[in-house]
Parts: sequence; structure tokens; C-alpha cells
Amino acid sequence: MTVYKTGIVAARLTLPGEEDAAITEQEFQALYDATSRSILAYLIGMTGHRDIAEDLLQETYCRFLVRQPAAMEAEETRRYLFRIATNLLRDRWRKGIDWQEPVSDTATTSPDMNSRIDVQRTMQALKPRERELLWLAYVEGMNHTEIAETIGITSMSVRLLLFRARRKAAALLRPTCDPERSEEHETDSL
Amino acid sequence: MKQIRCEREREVAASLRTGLWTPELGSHLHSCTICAETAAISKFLLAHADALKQATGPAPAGLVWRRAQMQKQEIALKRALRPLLFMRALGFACAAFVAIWLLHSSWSFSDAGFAFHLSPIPIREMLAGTGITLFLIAAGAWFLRDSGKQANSTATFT
Repeated sequence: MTVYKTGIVAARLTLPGEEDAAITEQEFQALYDATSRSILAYLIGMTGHRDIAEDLLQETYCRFLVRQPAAMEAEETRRYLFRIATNLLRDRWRKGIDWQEPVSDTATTSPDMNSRIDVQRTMQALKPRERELLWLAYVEGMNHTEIAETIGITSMSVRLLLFRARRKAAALLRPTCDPERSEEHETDSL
Repeated sequence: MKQIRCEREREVAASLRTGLWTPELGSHLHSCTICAETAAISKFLLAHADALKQATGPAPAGLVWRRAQMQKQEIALKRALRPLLFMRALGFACAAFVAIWLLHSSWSFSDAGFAFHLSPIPIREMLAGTGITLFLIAAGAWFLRDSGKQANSTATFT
């Protein structure tokens, strides 16, 4: 079990004259190496823009280091980082900035043109919260409670919203089906 | 009412992530609409995530570390400046109070001459004292303002 040392523990352990940093650069390096790729992929997946995602990634880790929460297990730290990243995304969305067309560097991330168009079309058609829910559930493998904690809603809401997002995404992945009609149908059936 | 969730949904998603499939789970996938949808979306998202992870590398950890240290210093500096800002505000309040008091005194002086409470103090000494007081208040305010500016510029620089 990996436990990352952070503020409160360090405050108790550090003696005068010793290094006063709550988490050392080496510890941070290890944490960053273990988590940054997943968070960057999440941020690109949510924003559609690599440069914006890079900025948000740096801000995520800066906030983590500045806040220095109590010692956490590795998995908990990872979820905490996702939570910060999600809050930063929400700040962006509150300003009315949503999905942006990928620039050339992100356009090369998909192996072929068809899948690239599929990705763009699907992600753009989903609402920001739907994107978050699907990503956290299916890419990061979080359960409803963990998603609720990360996004800041109740587990029951996650269950319902995830169901709707899944139906909508499934409809979007079937080009012949209209996602809005499918969504309306599902809402009626509930 | 339509079923909105299958108990094996997470299992399907986890199997797609790890690549570990059981024949039983495979047959369930064919019979369950929810799990079939989950599998389709998971495959799509995992492929997208893998492509992103392979194609994009995050900025070096050292860079992020230094940026965080700068932010920390900035916050620490702001905290350290709080008492100075308070003192500055207090200084301005005192200056305003003295100014009002002086105005009031001069008003009383002009009305009643030396007859009022200022009468025992010779006018020359009173003016000298007032001048010194005002000078000291101005100097103190200037010093606090200057030190605040310097601190802000240091924070920006670091």
C-alpha cells in the first residue's frame, strides 16, 4: 500500500532545520508519473483541446501541492486529483466554454480518420457532465460512490445520470439512431 | 418500468479494461442490452483514452513542482503582509481622526480665540507639534505603501 506523505503528517514529523516541504520533489515525481497521463487524457477527453488540458493539468497538481491534504492512500490521492481536475473543468464550463474543436496535434491521436470523426462527434454531442460520468465510470473504473465524490453529486443521481448518458452515447455510436429521440424515449420510460 | 442498471455492468467494464473475459460473461453480454451498451461505450472510450495516453505526454514534473512552489510562496507572502495591511488601514484611520480633530480644534480656536481648551498652549508650539505629527503620519503611510508595493513586486518576480 502506497501512502503519499502530505501536509498534516509532515507538520508533525518535521523538526526545525529539516526540509519543511510537506511532500518532497521525489515523492511528487512518483505521484506525477503514476497519475498524470490518466488525468491528462481525461482533461483532453473533456475539453477536446490539448493545450487547455495541459494548463488544467498543471493547475490541478499546483492546487494539490498548495492545499496539502492529509496523508492518503495512492488510490484516494488519484481520486482527489480527479476531483480537483473536475472542479477546474466546471469553472471553465461555468464561464460558458465547452468542447472545442481539436487542433492539429490532437487530431493525430486517433489511428484513422473515421474513428477520429466518431470521437469528435460523440464527445461534442454529449453534455459536459455526461462526458465526465462516462469517462470516470468506464475508463477510470470508478463506482457510483467514487464518481459522486469526484463530481460532487449524490450516488443516486450518478446512477440515473449515468444511465441516461450511456443511452445517449450508445445512440450516438449507432449512426442511424437519433440520440435525442432515444433520450426522450428513455426519460418517458422511467 | 425499464431496468436502468445491470449488476454485471461494472464487471463488463472491468473486463474490457483488463482484457480478462470469462465465457460466462461473454454469453451474458449477448443476452443483456445494458451490458452490450456498456461494452460498446467502454471499448470506444478506452480506445480513445489509450490513443490520447500514447500520443500526449504531460509536462515535466519539475516544471509543475516549481510552479507550485511559486504559488506557495505567493500565498505565504500574502499571509505575511496581512498585518502590514492592517497597520496601514489603522494608520489611515488615525490620520483621518487626527485631521478631523485638528479641523474641530481650529474651528474652536477661530471662534473662541485662546479662551478654549487650546488656550494654555502657545500657538507656535501647537503648530510645530501639528506639523511634526502630520509629517510622521505621512511618512508612516508612505513607508507602508512602499513596502506593500515592494512585496507585491517580489511575489510577481518569484
